[in-house]
Amino acid sequence: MKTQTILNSLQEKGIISAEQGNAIAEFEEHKPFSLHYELRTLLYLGITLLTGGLGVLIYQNLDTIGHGVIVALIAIITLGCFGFVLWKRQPFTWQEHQNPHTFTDFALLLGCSSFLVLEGYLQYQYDLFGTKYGLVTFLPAVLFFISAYFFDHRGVLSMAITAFASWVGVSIAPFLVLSQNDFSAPHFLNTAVGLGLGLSAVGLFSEYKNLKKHFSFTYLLLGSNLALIALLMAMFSQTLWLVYVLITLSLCVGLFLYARKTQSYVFLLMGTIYGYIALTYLLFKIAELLENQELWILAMYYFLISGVGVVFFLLKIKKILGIKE
Amino acid sequence: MKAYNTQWVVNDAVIKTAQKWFKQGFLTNPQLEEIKKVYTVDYANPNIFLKIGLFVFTILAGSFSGSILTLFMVTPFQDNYNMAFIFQSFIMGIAFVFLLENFIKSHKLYHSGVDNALIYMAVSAFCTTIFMIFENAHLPTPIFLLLFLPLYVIATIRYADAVICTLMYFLSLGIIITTALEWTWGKTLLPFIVMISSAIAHYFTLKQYKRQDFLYYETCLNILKTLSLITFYLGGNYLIVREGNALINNLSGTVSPQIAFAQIFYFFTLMIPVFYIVWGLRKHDRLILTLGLLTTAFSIFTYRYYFSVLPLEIALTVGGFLLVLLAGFAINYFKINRKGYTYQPDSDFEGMNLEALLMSEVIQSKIPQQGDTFRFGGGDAGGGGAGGEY
Repeated sequence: MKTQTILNSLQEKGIISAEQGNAIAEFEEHKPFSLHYELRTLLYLGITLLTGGLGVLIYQNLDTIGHGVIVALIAIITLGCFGFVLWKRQPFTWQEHQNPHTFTDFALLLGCSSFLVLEGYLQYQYDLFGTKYGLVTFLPAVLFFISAYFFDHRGVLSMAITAFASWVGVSIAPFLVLSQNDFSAPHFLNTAVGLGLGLSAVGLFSEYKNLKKHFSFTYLLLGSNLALIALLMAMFSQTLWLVYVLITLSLCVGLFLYARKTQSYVFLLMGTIYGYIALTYLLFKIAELLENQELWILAMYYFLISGVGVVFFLLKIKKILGIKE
Repeated sequence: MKAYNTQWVVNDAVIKTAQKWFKQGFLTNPQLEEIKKVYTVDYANPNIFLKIGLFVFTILAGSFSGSILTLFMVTPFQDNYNMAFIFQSFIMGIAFVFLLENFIKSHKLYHSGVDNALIYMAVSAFCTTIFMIFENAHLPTPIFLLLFLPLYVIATIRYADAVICTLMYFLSLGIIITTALEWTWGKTLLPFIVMISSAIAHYFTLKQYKRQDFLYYETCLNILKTLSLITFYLGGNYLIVREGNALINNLSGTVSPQIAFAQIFYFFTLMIPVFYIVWGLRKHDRLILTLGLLTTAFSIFTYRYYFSVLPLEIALTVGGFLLVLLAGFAINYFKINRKGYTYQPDSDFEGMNLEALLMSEVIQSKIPQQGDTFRFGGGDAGGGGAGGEY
């Protein structure tokens, strides 16, 4: 229906010939139906169920199997995966790999996950690292960073960043930033801000220096999200709130610049929302200092007018930032 | 009838399809350029993240305009707050519609966040008005619900908005269900009533695809198609019927009682997913196929909910193993085009960045916790729950 309507319209306007139209209609009618995502989903689901089930089974039969066997099994899986990835590897480049092998992606992810399991198991059962807890998270971070750059894998890169953040003591996953971190500790706030800003800087660096440019998104999203949330928390709770407001605003400007260069609108949205909150907070703090009761009635009008203002700003954003279509 | 320029939608569809054909090598570059020139798309089409921002800030401005209006309503309606509510929500509804229509014309908006927000705010304002007027009339539920329906139907026809369309479907279904619940036979036959209404809705939707202007409503029609298939399945699902039956009849007890015609519902629970999968594969319809897979999962859950033959871990292991085997075999088999099916992806998948982020969520739980220290600056804040102050 849709194909035929469009083809008719194109033929009427004289853009395509009748033969061309027929060829396209023929193709659309007989083109194969792709089962790509359906089958992949089934595969992922199967792996999840299988590992879950096996995990419980092993746990129940721990006494008969013995720890040594399990450790050996996980080690074999880990080594097998990394071996396979090394065997199929492509030469190192600072650019994105072209035509990656189908199963290396999965194998690398599986290898990295099972490395974590292996390490956790050894620490839990045999106390391998003793009280050097830092090493438990630092080791995977190093391994994952090397793997991510060497085998060019964005998924492993975010695992590496996550492990690194854990080593520092921060939960960085976007949806867990708020729930898993304790922002009431002042040390923690500065740590999180520092880590977030650092990761954002790495992201900007790799973008501008063209070193693994496609990694910059992951760095910047994880980093700036953490930094901005921590900055907001700091702004609301610390006495030096003005410093945090200023850092927030400069980071937002940085995000705007990045968004302008890469046309990545996630950062535009983040910059707008966090920038708006910071600016509003700044204005309300100033209003509070003035100690004028009349000002508070203006607050309602402020939200109405600024809301409309931001809407127009976003509508005209392409012109304002000079982004081409 | 329609708020947006229908030509935008058509041109948009033509250009998108032409770009696909260009990638597949059916069109030459000059032809594509020509198409882009002839079928101009000049409406504001912001990126999805911009849309989110526009939506949020429109809601912000809209709700504060409401509170400012309240300031002015307090004095004149001092002793009749109900009247104030009716009056204010009606004024706001009118104002939102007025703004919406003007914005669409002046800024060439088409589902760009601002107009979505204005549509929802206008509809909720009018709903408040209706609710406040009939609040004390003690109408039967179906008739009360029926009062809202015209609003949603008109909004769907005029703006073809996905959310409003979804609400419209559930509202209609709600009216049918609450009507059936008024009678005893209605309670007994409720599953069949739901299934039959879903089937009728599906048939009606399929007919609408043959309209001249179906492109304008394509999203809405896809939603209606999906929802009617889902409610058709749920209407016949054994778990839903059995638990729903217990709920409606206030049957207390730890285990809900067996239902009448149980065999029929076993049959539906088993066969509808199979039917969807076969149908989806036959018609090359991804939507129906996906629904088939999802309903299969729910049917398995239904079965395990009442009959647990195997312990969970054995079932997981065996099921997972079979699934991996099946998927692996199928991926290998369909690597080339076989009988019109293939493993080759349809179009380039652009979700790689999101896939990477998902990994971060998944892996967070697997990283061994390092006890109670962290590197920079000491303190004792490793993990733990959130405080209550935000």
